[in-house]
Amino acid sequence: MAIALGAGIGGFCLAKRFWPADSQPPLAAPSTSLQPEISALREEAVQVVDSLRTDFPDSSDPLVLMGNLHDSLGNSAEAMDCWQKCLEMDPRRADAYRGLGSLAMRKGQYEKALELWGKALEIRPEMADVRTLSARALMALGRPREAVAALQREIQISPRASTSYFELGQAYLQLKEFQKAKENYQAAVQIQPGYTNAYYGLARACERLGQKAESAAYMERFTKLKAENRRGERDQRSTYDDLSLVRQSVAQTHTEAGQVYYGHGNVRKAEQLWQRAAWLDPKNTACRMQLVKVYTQAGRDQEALRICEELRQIEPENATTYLNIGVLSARLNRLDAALSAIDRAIELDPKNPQFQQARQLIQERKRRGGFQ
Amino acid sequence: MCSTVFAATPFQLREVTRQTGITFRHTDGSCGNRYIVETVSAGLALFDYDGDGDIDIFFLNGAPLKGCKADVPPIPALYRNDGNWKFTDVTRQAGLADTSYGLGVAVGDYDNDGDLDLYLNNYGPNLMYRNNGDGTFTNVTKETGTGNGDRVGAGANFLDADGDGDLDLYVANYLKFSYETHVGATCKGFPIYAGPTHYPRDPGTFYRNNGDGTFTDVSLESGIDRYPGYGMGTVCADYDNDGDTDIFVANDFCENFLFQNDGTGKFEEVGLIAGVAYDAHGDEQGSMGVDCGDYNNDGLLDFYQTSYQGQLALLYKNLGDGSFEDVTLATGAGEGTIPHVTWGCGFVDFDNDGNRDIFVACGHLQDNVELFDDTTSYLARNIVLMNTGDGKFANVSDQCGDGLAVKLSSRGAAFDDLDNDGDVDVVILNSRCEPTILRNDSPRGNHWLQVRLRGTKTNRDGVGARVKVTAGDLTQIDEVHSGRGYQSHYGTRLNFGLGKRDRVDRVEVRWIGGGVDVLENVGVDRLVTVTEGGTTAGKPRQGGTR
Repeated sequence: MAIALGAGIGGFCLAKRFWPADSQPPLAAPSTSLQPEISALREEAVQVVDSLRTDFPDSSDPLVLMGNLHDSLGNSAEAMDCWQKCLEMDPRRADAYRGLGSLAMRKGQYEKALELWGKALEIRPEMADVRTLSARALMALGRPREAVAALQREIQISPRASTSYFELGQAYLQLKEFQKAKENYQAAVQIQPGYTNAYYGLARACERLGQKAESAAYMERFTKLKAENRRGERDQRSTYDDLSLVRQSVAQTHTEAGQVYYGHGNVRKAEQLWQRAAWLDPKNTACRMQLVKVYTQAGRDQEALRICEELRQIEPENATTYLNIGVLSARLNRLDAALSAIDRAIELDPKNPQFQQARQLIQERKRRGGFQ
Repeated sequence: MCSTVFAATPFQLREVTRQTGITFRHTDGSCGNRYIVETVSAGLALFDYDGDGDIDIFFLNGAPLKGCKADVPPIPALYRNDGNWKFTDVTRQAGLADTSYGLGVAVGDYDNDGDLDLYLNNYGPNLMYRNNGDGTFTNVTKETGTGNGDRVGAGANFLDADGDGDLDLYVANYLKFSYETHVGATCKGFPIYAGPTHYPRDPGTFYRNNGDGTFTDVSLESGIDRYPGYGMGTVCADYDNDGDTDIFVANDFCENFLFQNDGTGKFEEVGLIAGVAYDAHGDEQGSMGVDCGDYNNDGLLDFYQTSYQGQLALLYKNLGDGSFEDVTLATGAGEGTIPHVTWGCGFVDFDNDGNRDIFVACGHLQDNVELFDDTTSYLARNIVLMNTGDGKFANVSDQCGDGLAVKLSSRGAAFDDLDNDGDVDVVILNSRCEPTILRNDSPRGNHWLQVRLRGTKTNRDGVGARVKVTAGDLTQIDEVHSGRGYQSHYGTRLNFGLGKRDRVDRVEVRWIGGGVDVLENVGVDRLVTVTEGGTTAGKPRQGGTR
């Protein structure tokens, strides 16, 4: 019996990774040994992408990856060059336009960012987040009405995008339509109850509506969440590791490179890259999800299960991970463990019919005494 | 830089540093250890130290930090304005050749003896210099009791917080740093300066002037001590139009403070409810400098605050009900600032058209930033935003002459009429190198009025006094501030651009404490001195002219 493991395991996705301009640079206690190790990691990432270009000279994927890598290293000129070369090779690379747009935005070139993101959307109208990014550029240009239109379209595509609702709130505040601003901030916190900045928006909107008591209540909530965020940031700072950040970035490059090899049928090379990514970054879920897929397809259930356990440690509230653990455990005839995992999945996402179905199937198998 | 092309060049700011004879070169005292105090220095002061009618320049300087040496100990620099764009270094003869680590400066006549004294907010003990009236200063820190211990300084301001006629002193403290607690840092493997949030916050200090040449630390009683922050630039102004002076503290990576004065020198922190603690998103900014001015001539003082890379410098519009709105995006007042770290700033009417423009000093604090982020740069051009008169600003930096082509790592900026020709010039302190002096050569044709205040019952230079100038359909307000922008001082003499209006109907001065003086039917293109009590409100009387 086979239970599909499709849901939740990320398919191939060469997503543009965005390394935002640091408003507070990451830091670590200095070490004279850091520089060589970080340089070596950077070199490793460059070599991975160089190999990709050698192996697939007619593919634009390596150019996108190289652009992403340069962007993450702070080499915007090289990143731009790579993405532009990518577009010469393949003018339909929406992700390259997206990357170029983000660079322009960081430099304050809002009109240029809009133009580039517009091209990305022409190619892939459903591209996630680009309309929200465009809305920010529009608001920076003092064009909130157009920002509203962009964000409303984004919400049609991604109805649970709390950020888009927040930005809508910001746009309506700019337009002085305070009731609409309030409604959108409320939508944002409904999706994401801990959305700190949305409470600030609510406080301001209510203030302008003359709803003083409500404004004060939202401001209090904002203040409390801000204090919690600060505590979290302090913890983060005390454990922050510059080397760790570089490793994460290099792991990302390995993950994306692996996806390219996988897409071209070189599963072995892809697996190697994903394994390296997992080693570099203990919290990288993307590479692990790819490994689960590869191992499952190859019948290497024990290995797949091991990786799922790692995913569970990283994201203990991810229902799909529990589903996968359940399915894999069932395939290994560990039915009690399978049921336990599926129950947890259902607990986390009670409305998912796939989970219920999986449970029924496993229970039926258990009733029949497992594998014959 | 994105800018709108104009048919006529609005301003001309010409770089004249070399011709001035100013040879000052700032040092941050560094030698590779990347102590946080290095990269955040320093401010400067423009003031008439010798009372001869022209504006002199005082540059702060760093000092060798631990592990670093200097063959010749660096000192600050006082340049006497000799007229015609010539300046003479008079630091030593003035008695100001100290070797402390200068970060911020305020100027004010704390002893009301008719000349301007200096307060240096240092890394280490602060310094109060009494102006002796003869071109020299005396260090009276101990006598005045204003040394402030051994802290990391920032902005400082003289203000008459309790309306008793003498100047009190607000001292911002940046953070709690010591060599033992120094935090080293890397970014992508490159050594960098750690940010302020890796150090404990520090509250400001508030000194009450006792009126006898001494001060008392009343930080606790005033309420100031309850609010530790990462104070940098500060400005004191009556934002709520209730007749007393409040305090805006730009905090670096924590919420800004707005201390509302109850009129007796006790303060309540209202930044959050006033809407200036955070930006429009609810995010704290890496706030650096702050200035205040009425950008839209609605009779309310607004604030402009500079910030870190990736953040816009912000314009907070005063709504008149005790609250502010971040109107940066709606007005374009942050244009060009996103890629840069921005520091000194000022609301300055460069073309005397009656609308206050904005000047922003730029320069990164990471001196190797291009190694790990080439979307910005350590050296940067400064920015001028022209007030278009309809509540908006346009970036005209590319059209302003060679003065805006200078590319250094700027920090404090100060603005005053250095050549007494009726328009406002610019002096910028650049980190680790020579300053930039910009002469305003904007096309003439607009009228102006400069106002100098002489307090008699209130403090001698009218710090905190509100001046309202009405010329036809144009009404403008301003205040005398001590300490503003990025840890700097300027503007003891107020400048009002009048556009084509060739007559001033009324100059009204509201002194701290409630007294009012009025001049009517004042001529233009002159400096008027308004002496407290020298007019009877409402009676026509011509003020003194230059």
